[in-house]
Amino acid sequence: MSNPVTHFYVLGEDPEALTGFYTRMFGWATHDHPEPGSTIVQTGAVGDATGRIGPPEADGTSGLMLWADVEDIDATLAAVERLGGRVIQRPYTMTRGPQVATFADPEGNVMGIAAHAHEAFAELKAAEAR
Amino acid sequence: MSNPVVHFELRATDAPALQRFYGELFGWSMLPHPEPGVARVESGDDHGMTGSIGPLAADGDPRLTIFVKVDDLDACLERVAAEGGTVLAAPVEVPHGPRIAQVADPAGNVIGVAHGGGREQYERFRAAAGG
Repeated sequence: MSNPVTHFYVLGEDPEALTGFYTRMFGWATHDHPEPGSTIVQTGAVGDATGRIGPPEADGTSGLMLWADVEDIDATLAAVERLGGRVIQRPYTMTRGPQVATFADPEGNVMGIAAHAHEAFAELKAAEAR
Repeated sequence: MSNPVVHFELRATDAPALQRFYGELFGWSMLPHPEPGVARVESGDDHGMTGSIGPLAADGDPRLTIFVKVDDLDACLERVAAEGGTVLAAPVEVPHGPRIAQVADPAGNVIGVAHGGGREQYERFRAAAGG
């Protein structure tokens, strides 16, 4: 079990300005994101972190967020509640994406978990190439 | 030029409690770090970011920072203002660590920019911290 942090969100009111800033500063490759207004950024080689730059979430979550890959979303959320965290977003499947959920840790930091996100990203890139 | 995001830093009011939470939740080992009260995290084996979980130094400190590894820190910082960001902290050398600076993006999110860092860095940390 390693549950690596492989993905991050940068969310803000002007995602276009944010995407411009990050891609010009760091030369990150971009990919279409299924959600309107969002962009996927690939920050390095395969295996390096990917990110999503987009507008705030419907529940108001904005700013920076970390995402970890997990094997079992339900088991992880059960552990979150047992350990003093709080489930924010119950599991759902993203459009052409992985099954995801979000939680707040005991200090209120919101973090995402995704099942098999790497495979979903590979499929997204394959769909883009077609 | 790839400049990957390689590292995250979580700062907590109760750092030992947050270290226990993430350690138990994800099975991450909390490893020695040269700074007192800070734990080093290796969240994955072959991919995934390294991280640290430690105490908040000051009230206004960001709770989450992500670090981008760059080849030329000074050249990067020179371009920040023109691209709509702000340099918040000039470069400092972390003991046994990379040279880092803090930058705010146009939305005010704080990110770290590091020369050095990532996995090679953690090999040096491991040696310095004895873990």
